[in-house]
Amino acid sequence: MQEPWNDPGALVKQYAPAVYRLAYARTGSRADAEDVMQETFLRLIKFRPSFDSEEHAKAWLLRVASNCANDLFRLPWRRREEPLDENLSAPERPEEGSVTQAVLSLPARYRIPIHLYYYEGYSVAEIARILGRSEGTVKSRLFRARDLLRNQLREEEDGGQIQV
Amino acid sequence: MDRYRFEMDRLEPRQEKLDELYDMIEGGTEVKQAKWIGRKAAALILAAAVLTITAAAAAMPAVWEAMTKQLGAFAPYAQTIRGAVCRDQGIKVQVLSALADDLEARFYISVQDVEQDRLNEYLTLMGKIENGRTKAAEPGGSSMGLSLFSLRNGSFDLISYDPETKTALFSTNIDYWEEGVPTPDAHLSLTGMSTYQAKINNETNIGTISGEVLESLPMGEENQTILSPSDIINLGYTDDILPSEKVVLAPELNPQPIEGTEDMWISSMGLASDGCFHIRLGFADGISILDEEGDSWFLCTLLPFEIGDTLGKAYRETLVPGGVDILFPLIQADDLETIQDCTARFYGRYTRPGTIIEGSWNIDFQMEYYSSLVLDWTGELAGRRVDQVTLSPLSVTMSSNDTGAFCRSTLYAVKRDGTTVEAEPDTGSYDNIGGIDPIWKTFNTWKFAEPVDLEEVVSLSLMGETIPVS
Repeated sequence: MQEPWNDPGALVKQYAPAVYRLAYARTGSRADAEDVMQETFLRLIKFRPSFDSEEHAKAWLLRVASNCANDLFRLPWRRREEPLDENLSAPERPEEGSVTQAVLSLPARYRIPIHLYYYEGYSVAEIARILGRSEGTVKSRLFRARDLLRNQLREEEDGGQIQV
Repeated sequence: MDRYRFEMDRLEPRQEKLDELYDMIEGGTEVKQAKWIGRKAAALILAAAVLTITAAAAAMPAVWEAMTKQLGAFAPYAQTIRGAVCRDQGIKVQVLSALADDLEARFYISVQDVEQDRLNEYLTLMGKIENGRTKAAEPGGSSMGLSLFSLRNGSFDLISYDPETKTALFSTNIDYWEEGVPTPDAHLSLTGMSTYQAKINNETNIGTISGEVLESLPMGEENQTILSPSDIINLGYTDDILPSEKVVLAPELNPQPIEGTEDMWISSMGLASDGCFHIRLGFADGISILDEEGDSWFLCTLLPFEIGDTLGKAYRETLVPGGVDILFPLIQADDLETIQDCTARFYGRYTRPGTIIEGSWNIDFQMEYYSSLVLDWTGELAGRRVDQVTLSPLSVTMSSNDTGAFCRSTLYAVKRDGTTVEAEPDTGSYDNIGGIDPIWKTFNTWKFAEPVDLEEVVSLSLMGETIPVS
């Protein structure tokens, strides 16, 4: 019997939302996040990697999603897909003053480490493995991102504790 | 960041998209695959003319001197920003200078109290500086009412304060990285400034820690715990790791200063009677790590990070009279060897006697930047495939499939006269785009120790191999 972490259908059910949220944290666009989600699972089917565990499968999916999300910004036709009307983009934008908005305002390279750390609960070492970067790079990005977030949330919040 | 989790949990892909995925998995509906292609080679960009600092701030010689000292060899390459000044609440804010290429821009900003004497060396700014756009965004920022800029920074570093002219000098920067590009327009907006809210980010060597158990005091009602291991998100610890005996260190057992501040110092440090390592800090009069809402933004980490990850990141902060006691429950007698001579970093915000000035300071200004030269050369270098090299008077960037050596290697610019200028590796990224079988998509950067005249550079040297420039 196939383990659930090697069953693509089970992985879609289990991790499609996680892939989607990671992509959204990077792109800030629901449509782009769905594209990234689709591409990630296409690659799963194409490469059919053999996973040792559920965690291994999840880490692979998030790594591929991260790469796909980054690649998305290099597509030459992307600029033509930018919304021309502010109203069209409104439903995609996070709530004014939300933490998500603050995360999305970070420089792009900080968003995925922050998302993996605070939302997915990965350690620095795990994030480094997922993203294929050194632990030092991840640490410095988290440190810098937290500083930026603190400043921003501090500026935008009128009270209430947000521990970052 | 519970709010972030809450907000993210509400985000769900549309059911129809999930259905498409299920169909795709089952081999049913053929899903149109997105096209993923590499980035087109950047067009050749001309190098900008050399910029010169003039005596525009002659009225503030100390500030100008501090700025040029900070710029060092790069001062002649910085640009004087003219007319970027505004005034509100009796405070004059001026963007003095910028030093930028298409990798990073650094800005220098003066803040002067022209009516009273409300500023000092603890001044912090609230606001942001904005510039640049992402390469994927529409040039010119046709964002229809949204910000014209894609990149911003809300962190300002105080460089100096001159009491004679009542002027503080700040710097801030914007990283364009691989995905962003600078724009000629920039905007500074400040909404407030304060000498009441201070920042600390200081490191101190803690020296030798003996195994002696120091005098400890039982925790009483006055000892409010403001941070527990379980509050430190995603460490995964619960408060069960705390010792059963609730004590704090007695004050002033082995005091030592924290470098760079007189607002707080290490009052006592070592093993307490609970068997765990503690650092008790003493605070000067009027210093508090609680803000108006009773929240604390004061953190501590033991460095190097290897210690921090395993032992030094889990701690409890407890208010004590005139300070705070920091308990590291995972560092006990057997672990002292690990932390000998390590560094304690204290960072975050605290309050001190001072003032808050709210206002509106908004400055639109123009800046120039050194556009990098994209080298004609691509090829093999030390066994790696190099796809693109860019060179500016300030930095070098390289796109390659390096697996890790470039980020540890010094790069040299070789000049016509045979002399070299060193460039140390700076931030970079390594993306595995191959999944299980790693394929590396790498972006490295190097910053020159001194500016280089591109006309003089004949080659770059990295790992003993040569990249032709001219």
